[in-house]
Amino acid sequence: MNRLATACLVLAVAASARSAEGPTLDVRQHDLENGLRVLVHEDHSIPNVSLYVFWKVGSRNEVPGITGIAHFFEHMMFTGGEEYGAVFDPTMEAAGGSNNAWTSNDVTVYQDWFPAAQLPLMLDMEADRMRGMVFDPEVVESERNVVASERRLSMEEPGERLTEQLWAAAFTAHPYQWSVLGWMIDIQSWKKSDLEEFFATHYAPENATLVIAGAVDADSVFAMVEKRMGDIPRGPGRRPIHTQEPEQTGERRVTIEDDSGALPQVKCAWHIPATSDPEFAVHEVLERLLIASESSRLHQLLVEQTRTCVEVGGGWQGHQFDPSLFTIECLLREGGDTAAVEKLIYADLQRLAREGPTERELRAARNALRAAAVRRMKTIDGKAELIGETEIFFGGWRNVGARLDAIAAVTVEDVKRVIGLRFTQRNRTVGTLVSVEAK
Amino acid sequence: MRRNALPLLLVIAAGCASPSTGEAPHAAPSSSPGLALPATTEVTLPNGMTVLLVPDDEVPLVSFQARFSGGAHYDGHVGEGAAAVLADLLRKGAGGRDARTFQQDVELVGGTFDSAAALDWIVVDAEFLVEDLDLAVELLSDALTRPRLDPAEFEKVRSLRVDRLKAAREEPNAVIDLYWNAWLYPDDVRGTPVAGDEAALARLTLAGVRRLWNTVSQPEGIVLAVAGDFEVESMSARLAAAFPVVKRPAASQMLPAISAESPSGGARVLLVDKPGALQTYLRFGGPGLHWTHPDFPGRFLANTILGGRFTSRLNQALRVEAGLTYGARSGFDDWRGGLFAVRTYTATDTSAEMLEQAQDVVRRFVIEGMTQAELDSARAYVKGQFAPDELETGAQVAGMLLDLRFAGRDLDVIEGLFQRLDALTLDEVNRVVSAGFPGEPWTWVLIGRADVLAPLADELGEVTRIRLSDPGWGPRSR
Repeated sequence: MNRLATACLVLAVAASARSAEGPTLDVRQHDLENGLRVLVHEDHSIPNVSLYVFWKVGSRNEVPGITGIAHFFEHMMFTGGEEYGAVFDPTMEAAGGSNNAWTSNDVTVYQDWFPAAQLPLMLDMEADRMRGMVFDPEVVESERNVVASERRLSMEEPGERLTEQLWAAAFTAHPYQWSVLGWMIDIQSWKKSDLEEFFATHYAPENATLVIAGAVDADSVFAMVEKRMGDIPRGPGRRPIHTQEPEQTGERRVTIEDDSGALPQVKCAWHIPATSDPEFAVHEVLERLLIASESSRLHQLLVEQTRTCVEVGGGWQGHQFDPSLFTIECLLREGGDTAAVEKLIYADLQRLAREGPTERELRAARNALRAAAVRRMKTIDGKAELIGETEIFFGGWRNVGARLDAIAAVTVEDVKRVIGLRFTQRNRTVGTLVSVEAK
Repeated sequence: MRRNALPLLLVIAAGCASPSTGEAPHAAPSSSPGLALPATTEVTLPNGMTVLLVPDDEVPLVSFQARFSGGAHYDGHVGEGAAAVLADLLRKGAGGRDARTFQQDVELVGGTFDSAAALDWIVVDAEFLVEDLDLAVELLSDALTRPRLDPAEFEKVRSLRVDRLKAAREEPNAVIDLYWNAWLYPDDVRGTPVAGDEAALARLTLAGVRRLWNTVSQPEGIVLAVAGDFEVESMSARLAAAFPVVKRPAASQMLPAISAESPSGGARVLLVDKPGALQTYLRFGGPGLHWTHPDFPGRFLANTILGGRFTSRLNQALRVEAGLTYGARSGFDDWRGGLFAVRTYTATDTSAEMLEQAQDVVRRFVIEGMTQAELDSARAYVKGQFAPDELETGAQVAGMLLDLRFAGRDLDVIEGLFQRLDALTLDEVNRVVSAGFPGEPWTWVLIGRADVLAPLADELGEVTRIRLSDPGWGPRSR
């Protein structure tokens, strides 16, 4: 049965004592019988459309031996559709459109940006690649080289090499232990049968959400989608990811010895709950308090006051279905002492657990997050992404406002409690990159 | 005094009136929609500053972008990196606030405030919720008229910049353009690295930075573009009050005229050794056609086909067909005279194949030109992407207005763009390809393993070899 729902979201309410109301965001929802969900936001400010397809498949759905295959699919989806596979990009660009895609641990997201008059064509193309994939061996080999190049580019950065090892150490059971790019040997080894099985299992309409924002009429969009995608059958079903990372029972450490003259780095990671957990709002606030801005605590401490570091980064690690990590990542000055930097970080965390943030610090964190949400409303692209992300990770698109409410409700006591509970030595994994002489 | 300028940019009119409410045909639009432009107001404040106002009430934000001549072009007077350091210092304490208070006050209300130097200007960017407009204008006014240029902050900014350059050297993609610019303009300010280099920064003095500030900070030279949720009248009055007429000392020296030297092309190769590199990073090209030339629309379409989008010939050949790289692009640097460059990278062991194929693609394009189908596709693509890329937000419009102003171009460049694109024939575009894209010999920068690349580089031209760890960005005479 098809359901149709309309609702109006109000952004940016009740964050701090401010009374100004944020912009509104109207979304209409339509569910196809095959499980595909369609969300439409009409915005006629420019004659264009931003279209997102969120697929609930990422590196989390991989197993050892085929790591990186979800990301590889992101590439293959531009080449494998029966009708448009060979001409997907040329057709889209000749119609005035462009596209991109990205893969995370949890989702693969396809984005199309195009003139509104081309919506029927774009839906034809999306339906084509949703319907099935043809794996041309030559194309597979070429794309295999492209993703290998993408991995090499990433591994050229010392910080990326350290991140990969940090996650491999922090997770022993859960598939978050490998990177989205996958191990090089797996990239070089997956077979056509692996690809076919992965597509059939995960690229089924019930695992997708289509979000369209722009100069469209929602009823017309629903009719067009029904016509093109309504007969695509459901998939065979897939096993839920039941693996849970066991509780960490002591500090873990990894070291990378670098002989290229790279600056030292230290990255600390603590296990935290999934994005859907009510505690996640506290981690959004913590990221602001600790590292996200020039006046955040660790930036002030490490970059401005002690001047031990060049940069401080990290925070919560993307939106994720399962418990993940919160990191603090430091690029030290030349010859810097990673142990000394660690000591400074832990001392500040202890202080924060003991004393909590000041009301002013907390207000700044909340206001920054509220303003960031308003900024996402500037473009049809920002709105499409916000709608889709909230739908997938925050219990439904109606919760856009609730996300901000949750942030506004974070208290000094919440911060103290979560720091004390999560940011312990026992729950910590630490990676360091140290310089050694070239051989 | 206040005057209404010509209506400025944006918003594509055609297609806007009829959203896709039905099953439109799949053919790409081929008609000639013009660009209908919303009214923008230009105001000259009593202190001499120029203000461009672009009202846009879609979201409750106001964005500011102030630009003034005084970028790295003028570093020669006080030392390379001076403009970059000066730009940082504008937000490191101003008026009644020290650096930390300034930043905290921005962040307390969820605002953003940034400042940076480019080759030709210094820019201050800020965005605040409309309810925080009083604070926003106060901070902007302080940064643009009363920066503290504090000694302790100068030392911090300088040493942080040195460390960041060291870190950047670990990522060839982050620094290859510094080598490229210097290699093509060894004797010209256009080769100046905006970020400076480690040694130049070490020599920089606060007195020099202050001297640069006194030279470049005349209000008559500042253009402030404001976009967002406001009324034109009240914003004008607010800004006039926030930037009062102040008697200032005369500039310590006049800004030198910006030179117009051509890049030094020719078959020259800068080979930058990075021992152990997994990949080879490359740039090649030479003098190209500048966007002030009447053939700019033809150049726009032609580069779209050669290296300006995913299905461009370069990306198609090197990434899609050969799998040699994650991406290959080409483009023109209009702040450096229209310098043309191809940008890509590949695994160390496929470097020879990459060099050969990349050259082959450009060689054939320059000689043979493009096809009618490519021209039609490029035209639809450029027009289809223009609104979201350039015109969707007031801040985008404001940025474009500033680009036009600082390039000495008028609005017709944008207003008439679609008509000019539509009017181009294949012969005309191919004439632009032949005249506006450099043919051989090309100039090169390669970063990677010199032991692998040296024999390849020898075939490309006269080789100068340095190490990535060497100070500076290659041989320059200034």
